[in-house]
Amino acid sequence: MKKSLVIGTSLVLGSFVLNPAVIPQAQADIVATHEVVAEQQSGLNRAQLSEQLMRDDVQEQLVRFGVDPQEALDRVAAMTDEEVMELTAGIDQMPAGAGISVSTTVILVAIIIWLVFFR
Amino acid sequence: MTKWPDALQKLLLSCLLIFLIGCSSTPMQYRYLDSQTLSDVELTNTPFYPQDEFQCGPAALATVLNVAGVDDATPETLKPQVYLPEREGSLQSELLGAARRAERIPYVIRPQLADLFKEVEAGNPVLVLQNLGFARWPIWHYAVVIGYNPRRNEVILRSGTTERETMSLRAFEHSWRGGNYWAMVVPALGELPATAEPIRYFAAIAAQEQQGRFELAEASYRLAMERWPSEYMAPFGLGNIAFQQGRFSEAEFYYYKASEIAAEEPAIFFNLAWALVRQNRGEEALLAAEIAQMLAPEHARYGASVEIISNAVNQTTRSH
Repeated sequence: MKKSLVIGTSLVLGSFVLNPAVIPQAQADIVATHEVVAEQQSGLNRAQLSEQLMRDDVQEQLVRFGVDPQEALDRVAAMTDEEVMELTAGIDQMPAGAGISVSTTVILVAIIIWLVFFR
Repeated sequence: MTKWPDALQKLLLSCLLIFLIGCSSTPMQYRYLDSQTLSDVELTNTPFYPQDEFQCGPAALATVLNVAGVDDATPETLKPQVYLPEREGSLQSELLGAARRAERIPYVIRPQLADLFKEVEAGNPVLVLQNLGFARWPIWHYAVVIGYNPRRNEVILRSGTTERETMSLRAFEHSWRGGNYWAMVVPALGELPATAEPIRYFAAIAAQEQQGRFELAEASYRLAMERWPSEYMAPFGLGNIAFQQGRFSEAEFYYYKASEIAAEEPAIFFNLAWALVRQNRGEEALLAAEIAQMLAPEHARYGASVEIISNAVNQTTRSH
């Protein structure tokens, strides 16, 4: 049990070290450029938003949709705050580009034929 | 009251329905686009990766990344970065994220056909999100626009398993509108998107800055400073990068430069105050803090500038 605790803790700490978005800025006092840009774009003061919580949520969702946990961490780290916020609404709500596979094409054609000729 | 004949009632209802549908859709852009002004262009050197089942995301992204000079990008290397197994597809934000991880500045263009073709004309293939199905039953697809033929009014794409797909402009816009007119370009290093707008482009650079890719962000801010010398965000970003790397006098220099362009921006003076605090110049720091507070007295952060900075000054003097 102690072992799992150690592994768990090192995983959590490791994720903080590896994730560039989570690195506490050495000089966290200044206003970040992305914050000023976001304020200009939306007129919103985003200082209060708990951004880390949202990132955790999206990472969890990615894992649920079949992404490897470590990879999910890197993927979330590569997103902006706005993109993360969008995805918190639910990944199943977002368009996921896939393209037409042969099977869907066949089904589509079949449905159209049925609609046109057999109704 | 007389009862309306059934047929008339039905006719009225269907007229109403058509009216409603007609109102809900936004006007198509292609009708207002003067195709004579568009030049005949096809980026024939754009590589082609035929997609595997459901994997147009990695394939389309590899195509634009290759053109941007990321030679080792292939659908196979990108798949773990963008593919969502349970959705059998890729999300827009993950395509952007993967382009950032490839050390480029992905840029989402304005939702305009004119802008899309301007990018292609400038040599940037454009990755677009299309809906090939219906609004209610969508089939999301990523493809890469590589050209336009004004004579035949055709859009040319690398798409799915088709190396050179042509769509009529109308059909293309219909599918692109289904994807909410979403499209991104990935310029090569040292280049700006042809249709870049200052604030949107600064947001794209700031994303890289936030993720700690300082070298890339710095080069991009410099590029932006050349293109838009009257935008304060470029020197401001350069100042912030210098600050985060501990080069405080350089940060001070850039904040001053930014303040010469936009003397009304409290953020510049707030950060300038910090750069001065770090150089143990408490009095000057307080002056800058006072300006920041004066410029935005109601703001949650800048409104408390003087208090924040004087605390910081007291702390540094105590620790010395």
